[in-house]
Amino acid sequence: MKILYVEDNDDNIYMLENRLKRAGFTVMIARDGAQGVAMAGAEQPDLILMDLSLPVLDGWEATRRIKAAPQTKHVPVIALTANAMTGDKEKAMAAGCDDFDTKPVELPRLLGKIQALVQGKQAS
Amino acid sequence: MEDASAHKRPVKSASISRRFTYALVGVVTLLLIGFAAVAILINVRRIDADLRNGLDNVVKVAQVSLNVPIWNLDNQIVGHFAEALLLDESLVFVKILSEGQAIAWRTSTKFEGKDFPYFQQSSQFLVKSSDIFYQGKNIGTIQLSVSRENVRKEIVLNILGIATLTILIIAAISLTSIVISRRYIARPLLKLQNSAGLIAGGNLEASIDTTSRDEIGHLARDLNGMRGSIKGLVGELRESKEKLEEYSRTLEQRVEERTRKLSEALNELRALNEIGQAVSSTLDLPTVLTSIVSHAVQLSGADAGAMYEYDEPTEEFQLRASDRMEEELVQALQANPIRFGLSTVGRAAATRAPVQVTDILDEPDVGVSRVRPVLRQLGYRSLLAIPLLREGRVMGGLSVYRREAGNFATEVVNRLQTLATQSVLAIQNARLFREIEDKSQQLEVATQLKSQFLANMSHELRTPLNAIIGVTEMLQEDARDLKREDDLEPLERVLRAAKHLLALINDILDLSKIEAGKMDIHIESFAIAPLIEDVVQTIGTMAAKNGNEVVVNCAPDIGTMRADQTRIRQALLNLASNANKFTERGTVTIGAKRATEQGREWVTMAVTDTGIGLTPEQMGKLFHEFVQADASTTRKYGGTGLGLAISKRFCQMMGGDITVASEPGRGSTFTIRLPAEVGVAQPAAALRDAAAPRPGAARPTILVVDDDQTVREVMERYLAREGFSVVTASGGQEGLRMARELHPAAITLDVIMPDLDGWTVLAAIKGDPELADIPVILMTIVDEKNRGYSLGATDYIVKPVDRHRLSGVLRNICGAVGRQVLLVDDDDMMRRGMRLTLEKDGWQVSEAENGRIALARLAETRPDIIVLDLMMPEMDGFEFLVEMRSRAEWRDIPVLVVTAKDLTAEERSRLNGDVERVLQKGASELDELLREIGRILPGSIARGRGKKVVEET
Repeated sequence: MKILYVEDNDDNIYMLENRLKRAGFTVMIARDGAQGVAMAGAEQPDLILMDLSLPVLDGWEATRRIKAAPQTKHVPVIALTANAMTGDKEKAMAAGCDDFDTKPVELPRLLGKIQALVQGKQAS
Repeated sequence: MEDASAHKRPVKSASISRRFTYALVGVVTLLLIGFAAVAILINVRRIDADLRNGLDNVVKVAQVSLNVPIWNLDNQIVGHFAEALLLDESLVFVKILSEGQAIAWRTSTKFEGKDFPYFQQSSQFLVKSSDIFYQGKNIGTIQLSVSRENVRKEIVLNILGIATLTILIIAAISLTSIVISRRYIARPLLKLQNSAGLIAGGNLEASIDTTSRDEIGHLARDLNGMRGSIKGLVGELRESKEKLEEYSRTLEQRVEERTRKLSEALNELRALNEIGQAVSSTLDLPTVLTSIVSHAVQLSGADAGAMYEYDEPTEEFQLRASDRMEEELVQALQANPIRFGLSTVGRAAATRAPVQVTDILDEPDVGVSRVRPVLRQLGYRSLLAIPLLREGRVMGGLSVYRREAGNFATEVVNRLQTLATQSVLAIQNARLFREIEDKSQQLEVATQLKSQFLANMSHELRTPLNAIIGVTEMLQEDARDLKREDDLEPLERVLRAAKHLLALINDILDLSKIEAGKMDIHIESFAIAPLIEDVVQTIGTMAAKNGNEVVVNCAPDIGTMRADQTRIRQALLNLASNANKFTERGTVTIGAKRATEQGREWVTMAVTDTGIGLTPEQMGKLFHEFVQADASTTRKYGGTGLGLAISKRFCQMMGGDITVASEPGRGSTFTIRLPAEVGVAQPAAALRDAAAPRPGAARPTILVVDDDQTVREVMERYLAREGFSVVTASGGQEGLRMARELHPAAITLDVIMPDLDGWTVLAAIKGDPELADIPVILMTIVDEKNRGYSLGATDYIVKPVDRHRLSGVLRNICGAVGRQVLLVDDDDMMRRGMRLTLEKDGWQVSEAENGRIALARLAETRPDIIVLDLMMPEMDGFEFLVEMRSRAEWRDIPVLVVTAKDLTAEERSRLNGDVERVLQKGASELDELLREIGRILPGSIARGRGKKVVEET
């Protein structure tokens, strides 16, 4: 199962990429929003983890584009942000994200959300 | 008119002269006829007698003349004699007898052959038979008959003469009397009558003929005198009437004058009021000043006006506002600022007194402003300038311009001076407000920046933490997998430190959210006992480490509550871990219980420790952000120092609170107190326990006893508006009867009444066991309080009645007047305080912790007024207002805003027109604020929904 992780912070990439790989996922990394949109189209991942504060294109805009493109709109997107202020979640959901999680990542929780989305998709 | 003509021309029969004439003529006629009759009778008698005498004389002549011839038997002579006798025409028969033999028998030719008996039998004839003697011897008889025919003719003639004479006399007398009566009675009377008629008709100058010396003359003179009197009277009357008219004219003028003055005063008041409202509603200086200028122009009857602000450093007056001024003039005034001491405004300021120019044209253009030509060109003639002074300092000037030359009335000057005073206040207020607004805007910006900074910082801190925690967890996994037990412990430390850091960041974030009003609470139903158990479990390890025993004191059947479970757990955990932190080898007791207070169910959770305890000073600082009881404790005991403050805030958001009781060295008890049902309407039963009367209870009935109908009507109207049901009685008897029938909540009683005075009624009420408990308020002009109170009056109000006092007294008596107020505030203390204060005033109080609950309350019962806090969780005051005003049935409920928030101009304008007043929390002592609310509320209802926001600070 392919996961596209869009994130600009190296430490976070190192950490989450490794942990997701350990959990058995194939992980691809995009380092800004634009790249994320491009890779989503090119790689057709099963799920996208989207950081929201990103260079070039922010996570909200990238998600909007992914959800607007016919070939990527079906891919579930989980927003990931260190911003826990009220409104971030709403904004993310409004941009088209399927779920939302805050950093620091609690891995079991995140895995649960990934599981739910992928299974939900498969079921439908 | 008909009466008058009847009066002037009496009917014929009523004419005095005519009656007099009739009477006179009648009497004279009767008298004359009488006389005539008597005269005729006498004449007839006399003629008859003459006839008889003549006959007798003939007989005597015959006796003398015939005795010899008869004796001598000389029949011839006798015959001649008889014939001679017949020469008298009236003698118609002569017969001379001798010895029974007719010796001469002569008759007039008419009665040829007729003998004596014939004549004897007819009354037409007078007969006489007489014997003739000679020497004593009867020698013969002479028989004579005279015809009355000739005599009769004479009699007829006689009668005719007398009758004619009589008629003539009657005619003469009648004529004379008519003439005389006309001339001396009827005509003067008629004249008099006409005069009298004219006088009666109002012509007092009608001529009266008083020349006559007779009775009519007297009458005329009397009439004349009477006319004099009448003239005098009429004159006096006219004079009185004129005086009266004059008086009424003066009175009218005075009333008009007074009315005008009153209306002017009213206008002035209104203007001042409007300005006051403008001042307090906008606080926008140009708006306020424009409002003042416009009122100044209006009140002074001027054509234009301007307001200048004095700039001390430049010593110049700057045009700040104008009304009805031509653009040209405004530009001229702006281009040529007035110098201090120059021009009218400048002089007014310099002399600190009003200055007026009665005619611009009369003044030379020397030493006046360059604006003057423009003024002249635009046709302005006179102007008045009032200095705006504050404590002797010049703040500006107010001037009005007129197109008409002449003085400004003193009144106008005075009025404008009042306005000037008001303007000074307005300018001052607005300046202060501007400053405050600037500061609050700065503050707002600063707060926003702070929130933004905190949010950013938390983001920036979380991002690396995310990596630290995640990688550390990875390493732990690796160490576990590779069985490198030595590495586990340091990694555990790293993880603990990272999590502490995260907790700190989270707390800071929470606080900034709370401060920014962005914190949500999620209300859900949950069982209390498991929550306590969970917390106990969580702190178990920690307690064991400090050698503490954890005791749970919670009934298993404590049930559920509705609140934000996560926040409560967080708070309780915070308290419990604190208790553990500050206690060694002691006991930490965690308890929970339910209680009903003020008709509401509450859940309290208490954490008691036997630790180091707190000094009162420490307790005071305890709940403040970033403050621990002692700075050193942070180092010794750890913790962010934010936990308590955040927990307390959360509990307050849910309508509860956290309190502390402690003794240094003995330990502390922290208590969380929360409504069992956060944000849910109080059960109706709760209201019934409160001091307020039942909702929907009948309005208390007040019996008003007064003999004055006006008083009754006024009282009825007023008290009905105040929420009472009113019945009235017009006298003591009726009052007593109605008191027995209705048993009212209270009676207001007049003292002086015609049938049964108030003292008696009061005594009767107090003496009747069934009525004695009804409070009686004496309302009278008689100031005999002691007597009233000694008779058992509850209160004594001296007329004229102070209505507010009366309604206050009645409210105290009746407990409530059926008025409902809804308190919407998340601050429990505030609500409780308001409830107590308002209930004392007789309000029915219901409460809501936030806008959403308030809407639910509105759906249950519609209150008469709402007291609204603005900053509330879930739904704030602004949102609530929008929701409420969108519903037609709630749209007109008056709202009083009580807020601790510094309102921005934008917020103020959002409130404007939607709320009655804005009261500031914290501006004064709570008690004072509460009293103020109690004072304002009734008026706010009476006014209904206004359009002004009045700031009270």
